[in-house]
Amino acid sequence: MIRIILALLITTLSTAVHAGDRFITLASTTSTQNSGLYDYLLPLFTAKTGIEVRVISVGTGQAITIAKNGDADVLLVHHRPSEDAFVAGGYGIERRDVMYNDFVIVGPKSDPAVVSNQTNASGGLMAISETQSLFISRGDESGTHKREKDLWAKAGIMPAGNWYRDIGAGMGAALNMASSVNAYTLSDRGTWLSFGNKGDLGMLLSGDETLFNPYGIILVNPAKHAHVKIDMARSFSNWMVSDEGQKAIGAFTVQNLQLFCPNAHPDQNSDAICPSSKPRN
Amino acid sequence: MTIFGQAAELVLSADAELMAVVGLSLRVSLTATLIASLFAIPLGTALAIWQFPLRQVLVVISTSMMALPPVVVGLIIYLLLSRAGPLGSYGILFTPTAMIMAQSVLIFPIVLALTREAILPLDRDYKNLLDAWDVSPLQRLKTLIWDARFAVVTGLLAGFGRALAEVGAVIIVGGNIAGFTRVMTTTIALETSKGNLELALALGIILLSIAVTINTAIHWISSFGRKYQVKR
Amino acid sequence: MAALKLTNVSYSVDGAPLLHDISFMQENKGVNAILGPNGAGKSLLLSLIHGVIKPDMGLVTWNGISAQRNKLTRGYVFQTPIVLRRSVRANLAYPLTLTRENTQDQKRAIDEMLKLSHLAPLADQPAASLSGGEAQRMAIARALITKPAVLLLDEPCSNLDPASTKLIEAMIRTFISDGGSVFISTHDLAQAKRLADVVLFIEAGQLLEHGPADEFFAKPATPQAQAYLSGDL
Repeated sequence: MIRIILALLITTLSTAVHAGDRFITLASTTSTQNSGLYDYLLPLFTAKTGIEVRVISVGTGQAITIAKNGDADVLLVHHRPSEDAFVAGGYGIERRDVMYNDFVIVGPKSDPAVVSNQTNASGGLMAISETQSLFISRGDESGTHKREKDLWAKAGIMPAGNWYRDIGAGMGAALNMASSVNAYTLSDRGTWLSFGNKGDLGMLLSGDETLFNPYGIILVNPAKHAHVKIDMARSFSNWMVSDEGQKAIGAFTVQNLQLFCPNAHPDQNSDAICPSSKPRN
Repeated sequence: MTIFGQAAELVLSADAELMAVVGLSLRVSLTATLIASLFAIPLGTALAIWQFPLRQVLVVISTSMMALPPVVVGLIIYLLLSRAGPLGSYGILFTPTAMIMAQSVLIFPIVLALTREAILPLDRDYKNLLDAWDVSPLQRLKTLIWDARFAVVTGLLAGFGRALAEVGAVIIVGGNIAGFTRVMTTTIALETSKGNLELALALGIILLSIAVTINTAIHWISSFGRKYQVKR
Repeated sequence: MAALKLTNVSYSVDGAPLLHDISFMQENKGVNAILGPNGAGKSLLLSLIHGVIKPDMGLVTWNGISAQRNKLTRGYVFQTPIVLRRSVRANLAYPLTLTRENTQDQKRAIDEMLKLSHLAPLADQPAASLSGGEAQRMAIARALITKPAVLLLDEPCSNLDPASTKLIEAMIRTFISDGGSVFISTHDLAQAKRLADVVLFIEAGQLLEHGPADEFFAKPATPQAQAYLSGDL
């Protein structure tokens, strides 16, 4: 019995030792994590500074809650109104633009609503609703879902009916369902590119500015949570907007296509056609 | 289907990252099972053999706890461990320790109920004999647990299986941090959400084979225990 | 003198008196048989004597000490043997762990008891695999292993064949010749005649006769005992 208790203590302690290392916790969104960006980016930062970055990737709303509770040191999300409210509430400081990617409308290659003829998102959605073509909505209050609702509102449509399916699930699940029932859906470009099971789906509309998806990085306010590792968090934020960090973000590709456009210093950004999934060599 | 082929290949390749995930899963769930058992086995035995005030209430509460969805357990532990919560100052949210805590809470009622069920018939057999010797309460606990050990271990393995297969609680309190708190089930959830079904399935296969191993063990252990039971 | 003493002992369940105002004193020696028709309260009396049950009224003492205490100085054997889910050897070892006997003494005592009960070849079998007679012998050996002064047997040979009964009676005789004393309840009159030095006859919860066995069997004093011995009760 005593031996068991000792073994338990040792196991528990070994985790506690880990916790003493140099690390920060980053609350971020599932789509960013799923794109593989962090797997590429964070080792570069850790190699330079020796600071490990632990990423909690959840929905935007939950990420902000985690940061509000002081359970993370840095926040990197993509919903500007929530970000501004977070800072205004005193929870965060030093918000900076980091990068953006974009959403795309995908659907069956046969394109019954002829979405590919449209030049902007509103037109695409209108075409879908007019032809009552199947549309899969995430319906999970994620950043992507919030954007989808904004876009419907912008197009002046209250989507409802048999053709509009609210599935309350993640992006991968939504894409899987769209692929199996040949439906349209709104996806972030990263998840779409790394999505393996494409079936007869194709990317039908992209590049419209209303589909752009900017990310901001915010430090959790040490005045609210004294334990926050502000110095390490700030050095991460600084690195993300530094030339080195911005170049690394731009250099990240999925299937040889650029996913994120660094925009910390828009005036210096010479990549005018970003994001356009331009091939890299 | 090729997806099964790819999954099998992944399993056989014994990829280091995959093995680390499997290893953490086993470590977290084993530790949780041990901690839960440390409390659940004696308490389950006590509930089986002694009449005391609130005993019935405890039985009802512990049985109801089995119906708790893992997500709820995860949320409760999350709120406790969050910096904004009562245990926040320890900073153990998003660590394997937090996952161990959540899983311990989750499987405690299972081990408790199965222990109680294992001890009840044994106590009916033994009670008069142990009374005639005036066996002390502590000695009585030890005797009953030891002689019901095969059934108790079965309950323990059932709890371990539940811990290992559970995703809702660990993903909330562990945060699914790559290389730190990412276990089999959270990886499966993540890879599925990415549409990366091969890796999800590969992990599913590993999980399944562990489950088969556990159930074989349960079967084997209980057949071993039956040898010592009075046949009437 | 070491003795068992009952003073005005009564016991009832749900208002129905099962034993009523029983008082007697019995020196601790020889075989004391508790006789009486079914339902007279023989088993209950043994439980009270051992102290596993507390009387509603009255006192049970051994050498002036309450029967509730020092139970390990007495061995108690149930009508249906209770076997621990262990090997025969581990069953015998169990009471020794309660008295904290050292390992060397334990081993010696177990070997001695295996021999006495003729169970040595079955020592490492699960006790559950024993026959009824073997299990009862094991139960008696297990009761004897702590070297108690008194052995309490509740109908130990009911449902057993003559050969098993003979082996058990041999164990009882050995214990008596080593200076122990026995209280045995039985409804086997032949067995009582073979073993008993003293008879306690109870009927309907009352102790009606208490005296030397030969006198009891030769000329019972009460009509109830006469009827019982002639098979009319």
